[in-house]
Amino acid sequence: MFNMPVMNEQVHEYAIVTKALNREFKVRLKAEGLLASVRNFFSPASKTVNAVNDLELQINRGDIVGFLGPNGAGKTTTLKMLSGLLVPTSGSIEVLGYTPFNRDHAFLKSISLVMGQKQNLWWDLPPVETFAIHRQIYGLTDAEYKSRIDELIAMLEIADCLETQTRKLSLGQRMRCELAVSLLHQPQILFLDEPTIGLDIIMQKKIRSFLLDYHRRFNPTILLTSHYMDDVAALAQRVIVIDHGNKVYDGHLTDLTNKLHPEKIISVLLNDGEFVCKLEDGCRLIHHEGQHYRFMVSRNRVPELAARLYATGNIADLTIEDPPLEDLIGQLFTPDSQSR
Amino acid sequence: MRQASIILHLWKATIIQSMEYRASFVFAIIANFFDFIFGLLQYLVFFTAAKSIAGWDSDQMLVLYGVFMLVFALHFILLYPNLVAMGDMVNSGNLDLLLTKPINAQLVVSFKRISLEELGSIGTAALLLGWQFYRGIIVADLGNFLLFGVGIITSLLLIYCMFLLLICLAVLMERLDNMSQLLWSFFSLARYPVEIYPNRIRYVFMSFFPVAFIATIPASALLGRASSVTVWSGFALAIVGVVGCSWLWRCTIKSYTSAGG
Repeated sequence: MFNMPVMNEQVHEYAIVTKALNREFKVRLKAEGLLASVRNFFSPASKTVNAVNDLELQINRGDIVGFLGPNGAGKTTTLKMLSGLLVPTSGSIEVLGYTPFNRDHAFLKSISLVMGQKQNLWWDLPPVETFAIHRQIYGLTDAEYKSRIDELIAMLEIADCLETQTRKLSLGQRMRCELAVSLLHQPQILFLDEPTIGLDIIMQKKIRSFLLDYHRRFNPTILLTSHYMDDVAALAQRVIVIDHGNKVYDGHLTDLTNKLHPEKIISVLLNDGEFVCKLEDGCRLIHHEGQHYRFMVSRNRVPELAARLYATGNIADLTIEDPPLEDLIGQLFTPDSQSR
Repeated sequence: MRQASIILHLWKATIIQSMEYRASFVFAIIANFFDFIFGLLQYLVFFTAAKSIAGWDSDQMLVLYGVFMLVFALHFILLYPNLVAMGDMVNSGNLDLLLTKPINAQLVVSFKRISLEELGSIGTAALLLGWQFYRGIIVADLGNFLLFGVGIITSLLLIYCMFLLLICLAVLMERLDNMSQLLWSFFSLARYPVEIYPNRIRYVFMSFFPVAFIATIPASALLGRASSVTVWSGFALAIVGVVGCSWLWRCTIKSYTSAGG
């Protein structure tokens, strides 16, 4: 009675709010060797691990938020709490005004959890059979089902694999069908846990482009975790970085890159000859091969230096780029970065 | 109604799936038929040496065997494939995806899969009981048939309680191999009349560990030798058991730690 969806829509401007969210796990410990195994069999040792620590989140409806962190940082645990799979040890969660672990059917109809390493599709059956089961689960009418599935088939380009057994599909085809199943009920919130894991670059791009297109059309709130930083860079403007269960950054991706790395890379290909200019402060050569040069340049000096390079009249090509996001995020989790 | 419709769709999917492996499907049906015949021969061998066992003569024992096979086949069709799949479901994390769906998770975990391989056993068990009815061993009495119906429902509910307890253990322990073996042991106790066991064990089998209600009581009802108090007490016990086990399932899901992540 307290979770009337219509009321929630009116009252809650945020799709997701967490306050002082904590989740502890008991982890079993075992020393090496047979004797330790026998000892552990009779008297198991364990320690308590804080997977998520006092996490505070406020995510607006319709936002796409990237959730970053190294392995074991607490990203998936957080997604599982937000989707109602795990009960928090303490703290509060509200997703669309619902308390997720109560698992109200109205709440579950409003969300979708896509896990790159787990699948909804029945392994020995064609995807179309799984679609039919999900149609029943979400109680879609014939008209709703037909229009939605047709739209998803067109957007994901999966018409040719609907009637092939899932086990015979490629990983990319499976993932696209998995997305179709997960979006059949048009969720208001989409939790994506490593949706492009194991896919080749072309398929990763297709999935990203689909997600952007889908978001443009239906405006769901998307919370994304991925080890591929290109996913995050392409989809999310806001990122939340967590490490050992603690939030270490929450803000725009560009602000994070500026903060972590106040430099850009200028790549230059000369027409002929060698680069003879004197390197000034805020500019250093990081790579040189033939007539191809790469410089690391302070962000505030990039326009001026680029103009001066062009002015030499010996430039065949010039590109300006950010350092790879992987490197930046990697820096965030090195011990000497904690003071940043 | 929606939940029933979901289960029917899931059954349809498992039937299509099992027919993917045609040879295995046909072989399983043949193997189960022979299993039934060998079980029957075992009973007949007993009666080459004795006229009755614990007050059950050979004809009554055949009724017991028919009832036992009926219950066993129903369990094998409805519950067994789900029990076997449960460990893998927890380990692979697919239970996670199931729990994020707007469905009755207990119902789906219990009845997601169906195995038609034992369908033949239901037919043969029904034939055996029909034959005993034709021979007048089973008396045509509406009261007996009603008690038999209640007895069969009780039997299935009690098996479901056992199944649900094992499912909860699988979720809590994250891995519990050979769960099905435990249920098979339970069945191997139930295929003989409880009267063959010593008094104290018989008492346990009538109360705390209600093996008697699996086949002996429903078969006794068909033969007109069961008291209605016993049958209805068993039914009440089964209802309390199902309610208790469903509560346990809800507690288990609240303490579920999920795989990985």
